[in-house]
Amino acid sequence: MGSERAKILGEMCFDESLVVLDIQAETNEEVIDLVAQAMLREGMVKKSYPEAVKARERIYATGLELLDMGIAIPHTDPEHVLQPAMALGILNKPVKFVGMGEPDKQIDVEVVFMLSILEPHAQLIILQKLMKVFQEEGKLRQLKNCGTKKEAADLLTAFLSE
Amino acid sequence: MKKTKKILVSCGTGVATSTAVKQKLAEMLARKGYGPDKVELGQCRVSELANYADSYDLIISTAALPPNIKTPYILGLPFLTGIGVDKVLDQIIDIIKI
Repeated sequence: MGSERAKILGEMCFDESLVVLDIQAETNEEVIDLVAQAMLREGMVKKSYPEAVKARERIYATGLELLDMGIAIPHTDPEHVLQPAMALGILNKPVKFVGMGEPDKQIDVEVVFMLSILEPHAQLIILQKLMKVFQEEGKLRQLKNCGTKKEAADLLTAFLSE
Repeated sequence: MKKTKKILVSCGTGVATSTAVKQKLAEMLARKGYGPDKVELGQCRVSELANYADSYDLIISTAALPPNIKTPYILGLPFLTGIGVDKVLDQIIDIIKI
Protein backbone atom coordinates (compact mmCIF):
# COMPACT_ATOMS: atom_id res chain seq x y z
CA MET A 1 0.00 0.00 0.00
CA GLY A 2 1.07 3.60 -0.42
CA SER A 3 2.80 5.67 -3.01
CA GLU A 4 5.19 2.95 -4.24
CA ARG A 5 2.40 0.93 -5.83
CA ALA A 6 2.17 1.14 -9.61
CA LYS A 7 -0.65 3.33 -10.87
CA ILE A 8 -1.71 3.06 -14.47
CA LEU A 9 -1.75 6.51 -16.08
CA GLY A 10 -1.52 7.95 -12.57
CA GLU A 11 -5.17 7.09 -12.01
CA MET A 12 -5.61 3.57 -10.77
CA CYS A 13 -3.58 1.03 -8.80
CA PHE A 14 -2.93 -2.16 -10.68
CA ASP A 15 -0.11 -4.68 -10.68
CA GLU A 16 0.40 -8.44 -10.52
CA SER A 17 -0.69 -8.56 -6.86
CA LEU A 18 -4.17 -7.63 -8.13
CA VAL A 19 -4.31 -10.48 -10.65
CA VAL A 20 -6.11 -13.73 -9.78
CA LEU A 21 -5.46 -16.59 -12.21
CA ASP A 22 -6.96 -20.07 -12.63
CA ILE A 23 -10.25 -19.25 -10.95
CA GLN A 24 -12.25 -22.42 -10.39
CA ALA A 25 -15.75 -21.41 -9.43
CA GLU A 26 -19.32 -22.51 -9.87
CA THR A 27 -21.10 -19.22 -9.18
CA ASN A 28 -20.47 -15.57 -9.90
CA GLU A 29 -20.50 -14.85 -6.15
CA GLU A 30 -17.54 -17.21 -5.70
CA VAL A 31 -15.71 -15.40 -8.49
CA ILE A 32 -16.44 -12.01 -6.92
CA ASP A 33 -15.25 -13.27 -3.52
CA LEU A 34 -11.94 -14.55 -4.89
CA VAL A 35 -11.13 -11.36 -6.78
CA ALA A 36 -12.41 -9.04 -4.03
CA GLN A 37 -10.15 -10.81 -1.52
CA ALA A 38 -7.13 -9.67 -3.55
CA MET A 39 -8.42 -6.08 -3.41
CA LEU A 40 -8.87 -6.42 0.35
CA ARG A 41 -5.48 -8.08 0.94
CA GLU A 42 -3.73 -5.32 -0.98
CA GLY A 43 -5.43 -2.60 1.05
CA MET A 44 -7.43 -1.15 -1.84
CA VAL A 45 -10.86 -1.52 -0.26
CA LYS A 46 -12.64 -1.70 3.08
CA LYS A 47 -13.75 -4.95 4.71
CA SER A 48 -17.31 -4.21 3.63
CA TYR A 49 -16.32 -4.24 -0.07
CA PRO A 50 -16.72 -7.95 -1.02
CA GLU A 51 -20.26 -8.19 0.37
CA ALA A 52 -21.16 -4.80 -1.10
CA VAL A 53 -19.98 -5.88 -4.57
CA LYS A 54 -22.03 -9.07 -4.38
CA ALA A 55 -25.10 -7.18 -3.19
CA ARG A 56 -24.76 -4.66 -5.98
CA GLU A 57 -24.21 -7.37 -8.60
CA ARG A 58 -27.58 -8.87 -7.61
CA ILE A 59 -29.36 -5.57 -8.27
CA TYR A 60 -27.24 -4.05 -11.04
CA ALA A 61 -25.54 -6.91 -12.84
CA THR A 62 -22.34 -6.24 -14.79
CA GLY A 63 -22.01 -9.05 -17.37
CA LEU A 64 -21.09 -7.85 -20.86
CA GLU A 65 -21.08 -9.89 -24.07
CA LEU A 66 -18.14 -8.66 -26.14
CA LEU A 67 -16.71 -9.66 -29.53
CA ASP A 68 -14.08 -11.92 -27.94
CA MET A 69 -15.96 -13.35 -24.96
CA GLY A 70 -18.19 -12.57 -22.03
CA ILE A 71 -16.72 -10.44 -19.24
CA ALA A 72 -17.99 -8.77 -16.07
CA ILE A 73 -16.99 -5.56 -14.33
CA PRO A 74 -18.21 -5.93 -10.74
CA HIS A 75 -17.88 -2.81 -8.58
CA THR A 76 -19.73 -0.93 -5.88
CA ASP A 77 -20.26 2.43 -4.20
CA PRO A 78 -17.26 4.62 -3.25
CA GLU A 79 -18.03 4.32 0.48
CA HIS A 80 -16.46 0.82 0.44
CA VAL A 81 -13.32 1.96 -1.39
CA LEU A 82 -9.96 3.12 -0.01
CA GLN A 83 -7.98 3.59 -3.22
CA PRO A 84 -8.91 3.61 -6.89
CA ALA A 85 -7.81 0.23 -8.20
CA MET A 86 -8.53 -2.55 -10.62
CA ALA A 87 -8.24 -6.30 -10.07
CA LEU A 88 -8.14 -8.80 -12.90
CA GLY A 89 -9.65 -12.27 -12.56
CA ILE A 90 -9.16 -14.98 -15.18
CA LEU A 91 -11.46 -17.99 -15.03
CA ASN A 92 -10.56 -21.56 -15.92
CA LYS A 93 -14.08 -22.20 -17.11
CA PRO A 94 -16.88 -19.73 -17.85
CA VAL A 95 -19.27 -18.78 -15.05
CA LYS A 96 -22.68 -17.20 -15.63
CA PHE A 97 -23.25 -13.55 -14.77
CA VAL A 98 -26.47 -11.67 -15.45
CA GLY A 99 -26.22 -9.17 -18.31
CA MET A 100 -25.78 -5.51 -17.52
CA GLY A 101 -29.12 -3.73 -18.01
CA GLU A 102 -30.59 -6.99 -19.30
CA PRO A 103 -31.88 -8.98 -16.31
CA ASP A 104 -33.12 -11.83 -18.52
CA LYS A 105 -29.75 -12.44 -20.14
CA GLN A 106 -27.12 -14.86 -18.78
CA ILE A 107 -23.57 -14.32 -19.97
CA ASP A 108 -20.74 -16.87 -19.89
CA VAL A 109 -17.98 -14.85 -18.29
CA GLU A 110 -14.30 -15.76 -18.72
CA VAL A 111 -12.54 -12.61 -17.50
CA VAL A 112 -13.48 -10.25 -14.68
CA PHE A 113 -12.32 -6.66 -14.24
CA MET A 114 -13.15 -5.61 -10.70
CA LEU A 115 -13.08 -1.90 -10.07
CA SER A 116 -12.80 0.21 -6.96
CA ILE A 117 -13.68 3.78 -7.82
CA LEU A 118 -13.73 6.78 -5.47
CA GLU A 119 -15.01 9.50 -7.74
CA PRO A 120 -16.08 9.25 -11.36
CA HIS A 121 -13.94 11.73 -13.25
CA ALA A 122 -10.64 10.90 -11.58
CA GLN A 123 -10.54 7.57 -13.45
CA LEU A 124 -11.98 8.76 -16.73
CA ILE A 125 -8.98 8.06 -18.96
CA ILE A 126 -8.51 4.56 -17.61
CA LEU A 127 -12.21 3.75 -18.00
CA GLN A 128 -12.07 4.93 -21.60
CA LYS A 129 -8.95 2.85 -22.26
CA LEU A 130 -10.60 -0.17 -20.69
CA MET A 131 -13.63 0.21 -22.99
CA LYS A 132 -11.20 0.32 -25.91
CA VAL A 133 -9.68 -2.99 -24.81
CA PHE A 134 -13.21 -4.45 -24.58
CA GLN A 135 -14.04 -3.33 -28.10
CA GLU A 136 -10.92 -4.48 -29.94
CA GLU A 137 -11.17 -8.05 -31.05
CA GLY A 138 -8.33 -10.31 -29.87
CA LYS A 139 -7.09 -8.32 -26.88
CA LEU A 140 -9.18 -10.09 -24.27
CA ARG A 141 -8.32 -13.44 -25.79
CA GLN A 142 -4.61 -12.61 -25.42
CA LEU A 143 -5.18 -11.59 -21.82
CA LYS A 144 -7.13 -14.74 -21.09
CA ASN A 145 -4.25 -16.87 -22.38
CA CYS A 146 -1.59 -15.38 -20.09
CA GLY A 147 0.21 -18.05 -18.06
CA THR A 148 1.48 -15.96 -15.14
CA LYS A 149 0.20 -13.05 -13.05
CA LYS A 150 3.10 -10.90 -14.15
CA GLU A 151 2.48 -11.63 -17.82
CA ALA A 152 -1.22 -10.74 -17.43
CA ALA A 153 -0.47 -7.56 -15.45
CA ASP A 154 2.15 -6.42 -17.94
CA LEU A 155 -0.09 -7.11 -20.93
CA LEU A 156 -3.11 -5.29 -19.50
CA THR A 157 -0.92 -2.37 -18.41
CA ALA A 158 0.49 -2.20 -21.94
CA PHE A 159 -3.02 -2.25 -23.48
CA LEU A 160 -4.18 0.51 -21.16
CA SER A 161 -1.14 2.64 -21.84
CA GLU A 162 -1.50 2.55 -25.64
CA MET B 1 -34.25 30.44 -30.58
CA LYS B 2 -33.07 26.85 -30.37
CA LYS B 3 -33.52 24.98 -27.17
CA THR B 4 -30.68 22.78 -25.86
CA LYS B 5 -31.63 19.11 -25.58
CA LYS B 6 -30.80 17.25 -22.41
CA ILE B 7 -29.63 13.64 -22.10
CA LEU B 8 -29.23 11.93 -18.74
CA VAL B 9 -26.74 9.04 -18.49
CA SER B 10 -27.28 6.65 -15.61
CA CYS B 11 -25.88 3.45 -14.13
CA GLY B 12 -26.09 1.51 -10.88
CA THR B 13 -23.48 3.44 -8.90
CA GLY B 14 -23.20 6.59 -11.00
CA VAL B 15 -19.40 6.31 -11.00
CA ALA B 16 -18.16 3.71 -13.46
CA THR B 17 -20.12 2.79 -16.57
CA SER B 18 -22.13 6.03 -16.75
CA THR B 19 -18.84 7.95 -16.73
CA ALA B 20 -17.48 5.90 -19.61
CA VAL B 21 -20.74 6.02 -21.58
CA LYS B 22 -21.17 9.77 -21.08
CA GLN B 23 -17.68 10.48 -22.36
CA LYS B 24 -18.08 8.25 -25.42
CA LEU B 25 -21.53 9.69 -26.15
CA ALA B 26 -20.24 13.27 -25.92
CA GLU B 27 -17.44 12.46 -28.38
CA MET B 28 -19.71 10.70 -30.86
CA LEU B 29 -22.44 13.37 -30.70
CA ALA B 30 -19.88 16.14 -31.21
CA ARG B 31 -18.58 14.37 -34.31
CA LYS B 32 -22.14 14.40 -35.70
CA GLY B 33 -22.46 18.12 -35.03
CA TYR B 34 -24.19 17.87 -31.67
CA GLY B 35 -21.66 19.54 -29.41
CA PRO B 36 -22.15 20.85 -25.87
CA ASP B 37 -23.89 23.96 -27.29
CA LYS B 38 -26.72 21.75 -28.57
CA VAL B 39 -26.86 18.83 -26.18
CA GLU B 40 -26.40 18.96 -22.43
CA LEU B 41 -25.37 15.70 -20.73
CA GLY B 42 -26.13 14.84 -17.13
CA GLN B 43 -25.16 11.82 -15.04
CA CYS B 44 -26.70 10.05 -12.07
CA ARG B 45 -27.32 6.69 -10.47
CA VAL B 46 -30.40 4.73 -11.50
CA SER B 47 -31.90 5.09 -8.00
CA GLU B 48 -31.88 8.89 -8.46
CA LEU B 49 -33.57 8.85 -11.86
CA ALA B 50 -37.03 9.61 -10.50
CA ASN B 51 -35.73 12.95 -9.18
CA TYR B 52 -34.21 14.11 -12.45
CA ALA B 53 -35.86 12.28 -15.36
CA ASP B 54 -38.65 14.82 -15.95
CA SER B 55 -36.26 17.60 -16.88
CA TYR B 56 -34.47 15.49 -19.52
CA ASP B 57 -35.41 14.60 -23.11
CA LEU B 58 -33.76 11.19 -23.09
CA ILE B 59 -32.19 8.70 -20.68
CA ILE B 60 -29.27 6.44 -21.64
CA SER B 61 -28.75 3.80 -18.97
CA THR B 62 -26.56 0.74 -18.49
CA ALA B 63 -28.92 -0.56 -15.79
CA ALA B 64 -32.61 -1.39 -16.06
CA LEU B 65 -34.85 1.56 -15.16
CA PRO B 66 -37.17 1.78 -12.17
CA PRO B 67 -40.87 1.79 -13.04
CA ASN B 68 -42.77 5.06 -13.61
CA ILE B 69 -40.05 6.80 -15.60
CA LYS B 70 -41.80 8.44 -18.55
CA THR B 71 -38.77 9.92 -20.30
CA PRO B 72 -37.69 7.97 -23.42
CA TYR B 73 -34.97 5.46 -22.61
CA ILE B 74 -32.21 3.68 -24.53
CA LEU B 75 -29.92 0.95 -23.19
CA GLY B 76 -26.37 2.32 -23.20
CA LEU B 77 -24.52 -1.00 -23.52
CA PRO B 78 -23.30 -0.46 -27.10
CA PHE B 79 -21.16 2.45 -25.87
CA LEU B 80 -19.32 -0.05 -23.65
CA THR B 81 -19.18 -3.02 -25.99
CA GLY B 82 -18.88 -1.18 -29.31
CA ILE B 83 -21.42 -3.64 -30.75
CA GLY B 84 -24.17 -1.79 -32.61
CA VAL B 85 -23.03 1.61 -31.41
CA ASP B 86 -23.64 3.44 -34.71
CA LYS B 87 -27.23 2.25 -34.81
CA VAL B 88 -27.85 3.43 -31.25
CA LEU B 89 -26.26 6.80 -32.02
CA ASP B 90 -28.66 7.23 -34.94
CA GLN B 91 -31.61 6.40 -32.65
CA ILE B 92 -30.40 8.99 -30.15
CA ILE B 93 -30.00 11.66 -32.80
CA ASP B 94 -33.51 10.90 -34.07
CA ILE B 95 -34.89 11.57 -30.60
CA ILE B 96 -32.95 14.75 -29.90
CA LYS B 97 -33.19 16.21 -33.42
CA ILE B 98 -34.25 19.82 -33.13
